[in-house]
Amino acid sequence: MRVDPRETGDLTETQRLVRRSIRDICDGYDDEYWREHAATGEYPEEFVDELADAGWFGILIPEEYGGAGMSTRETAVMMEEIAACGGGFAAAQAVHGGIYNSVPLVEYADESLKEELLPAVAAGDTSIQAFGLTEPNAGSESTAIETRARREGDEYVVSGEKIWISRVDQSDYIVLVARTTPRSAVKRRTEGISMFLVDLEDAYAQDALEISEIDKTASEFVHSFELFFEDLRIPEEHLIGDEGEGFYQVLDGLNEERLVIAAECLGLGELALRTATEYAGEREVFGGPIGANQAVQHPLAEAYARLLAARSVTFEGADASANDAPRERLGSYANAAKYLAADAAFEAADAAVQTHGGFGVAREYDVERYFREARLARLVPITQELALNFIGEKSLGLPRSY
Amino acid sequence: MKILVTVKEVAEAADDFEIEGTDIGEQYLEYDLNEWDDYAIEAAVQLSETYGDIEVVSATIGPERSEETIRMALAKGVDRAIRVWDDDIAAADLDVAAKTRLFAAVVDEEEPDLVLSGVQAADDGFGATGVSVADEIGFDWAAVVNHLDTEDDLSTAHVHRELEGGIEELTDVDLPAVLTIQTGLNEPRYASLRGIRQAQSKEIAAFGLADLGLDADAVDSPISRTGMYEPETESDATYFDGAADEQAAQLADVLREKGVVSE
Ligand SMILES: Cc1cc2nc3c(=O)[nH]c(=O)nc-3n(C[C@H](O)[C@H](O)[C@H](O)COP(=O)(O)OP(=O)(O)OC[C@H]3O[C@@H](n4cnc5c(N)ncnc54)[C@H](O)[C@@H]3O)c2cc1C
Repeated sequence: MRVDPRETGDLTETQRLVRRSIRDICDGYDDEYWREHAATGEYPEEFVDELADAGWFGILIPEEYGGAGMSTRETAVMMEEIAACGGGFAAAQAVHGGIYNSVPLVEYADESLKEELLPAVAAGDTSIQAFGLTEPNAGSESTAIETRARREGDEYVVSGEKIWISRVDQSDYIVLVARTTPRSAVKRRTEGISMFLVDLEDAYAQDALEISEIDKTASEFVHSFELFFEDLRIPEEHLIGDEGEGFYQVLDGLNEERLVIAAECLGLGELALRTATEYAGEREVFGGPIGANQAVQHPLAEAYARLLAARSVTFEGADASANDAPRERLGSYANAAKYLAADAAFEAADAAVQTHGGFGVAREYDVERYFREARLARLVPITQELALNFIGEKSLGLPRSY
Repeated sequence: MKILVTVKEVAEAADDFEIEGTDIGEQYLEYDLNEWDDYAIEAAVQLSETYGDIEVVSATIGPERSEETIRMALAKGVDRAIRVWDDDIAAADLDVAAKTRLFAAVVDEEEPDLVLSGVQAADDGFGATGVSVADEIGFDWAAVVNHLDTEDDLSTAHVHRELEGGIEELTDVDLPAVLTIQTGLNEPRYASLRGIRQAQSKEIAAFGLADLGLDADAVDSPISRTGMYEPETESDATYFDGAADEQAAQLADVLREKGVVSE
């Protein structure tokens, strides 16, 4: 690719240094590394450890807690690069939680909890990779969660079920969202929800948590689980923020995180497009490279155009967040970016598979894996429909449907 | 104590490139830190970590674009940097002698106890700058260093030098000295995130010829580039794939085929 989409925007110097440093690390992990980990389902531990050792889990943690105190702009570059270098959406997802779950702690946790945990997370010694919100009866409608946390003395006692919770096997802690007041007893459904920090080792030791891995067909090396909590006792100091305010705390920072998710989608799309472009230039059929046929060329060019457009919305949004744009405007950017980037990645991956002909479904050529990941990117962390719902309501001002 | 590391941002051409005039078209070039210099930086930073109280300064000759590469060196632990450039330098075709004059002037300014350079640069590959600087400033030197130990009081460097034919020379060099560093000397680190953060507040001082007490003559060169072309490939390379035993079998086939070994 002559003009890589990643080279099109104007990055700040810090963003460029972030990109180079991540590239340096990623250079040590070739396509085969990611292919093998996808085939065996083994978590890419060496890669993640290397990032941890170099302090990348502290990218959003303020400097006074040992982090780098950077922001959405730099994290977007970091994650785009991880995905684009060969690891795809899955590689970015392998570390995403570990970076974003420290954010509510920074914003809302008690000083003592922050001092205890954040420096260790920034140093890569402790991980908070898991975030538990989704339940069997509460996916897109997250206020429908039923997992209960009841106060008993100086503890909370938690029972309930979570589903699709990622990286529980790679984490020391999970940030858990539960109801402290049932939905029937609050005025607004967004009230009565609280956020807790759960020490997973302690939860297993109490015999209060069982987990079961979900067999799935995308992002093989990032595992997702069903969680069953029964009378888990959490010390009150592990309540993050205020009781009953947990949902608002979840919403806070969501736009920034969504922009970074968009960047991860972009990285995947760029990876798929690069792979396809190389193949189109090399594979000869009917005496010439297939890439000379416009039937092959145009879908790739179209994917390029879509990636470029989605990328500019994403990074403009990241710049807006750095300039403290109002929340509504950030929401427009974030949801538009996630929507466009996931679709652009999907179109790119689809074109990549088609370009490869029959080899498109051979594991050895990687593009089928990119395609499955791109499919997933249209579902998580929110579905495309819910991103459009947001735009319909908040950006267009149409009646709320959800 | 002060260590000066000379670093260079080198150009790398894309797989298919086109030659425009006497150079490769700018659009086909990507820039990165010279690989050898990465090892020199690591050596300097390790010395400063071991002994404390050592300032590591890196110096480069390069346009503004190269500041990003220098920041990477700062992110890896270099304390501050010097970038030498101005319009006269930009207009010149720098040869070894010109670079030597520039770096010698930097050495005059900085008075380091140890100068580390890479053995060579990946783009023009002169492989002479380090030693030429040593000669100019009158420092002892050792070239192609692939192992480095230092006396506890940092008076002497015990080095291994890589010679042709797999021979190594073990020798001692008294400081102040210039060492040209071979790849493989150490394991260059990745820039840490905190390092990147800190690099933002480290100084990159810009020097022109006048700042170094030089004039445009300093970058004059009797050498001029008259052409650039891609050499014809005369033989083909064969790549073997597969496990070691499969590769060995394929190699044996080729050797037999070419009559190198008998059936
Ligand atoms: C691999 C993977 C990893 C995950 N990791 C985590 C994790 O770590 N932590 C966590 O908490 N969750 C996680 N999730 C859960 C994820 O956030 C949810 O799957 C997602 O929010 C969608 O919820 P759902 O699956 O229940 O779909 P549903 O909410 O049941 O939606 C089903 C379909 O209906 C559509 N729909 C629903 N309501 C509307 C409406 N009002 N308007 C238009 N369309 C609508 C949706 O868009 C979707 O297409 C993960 C999921 C996956 C697949």
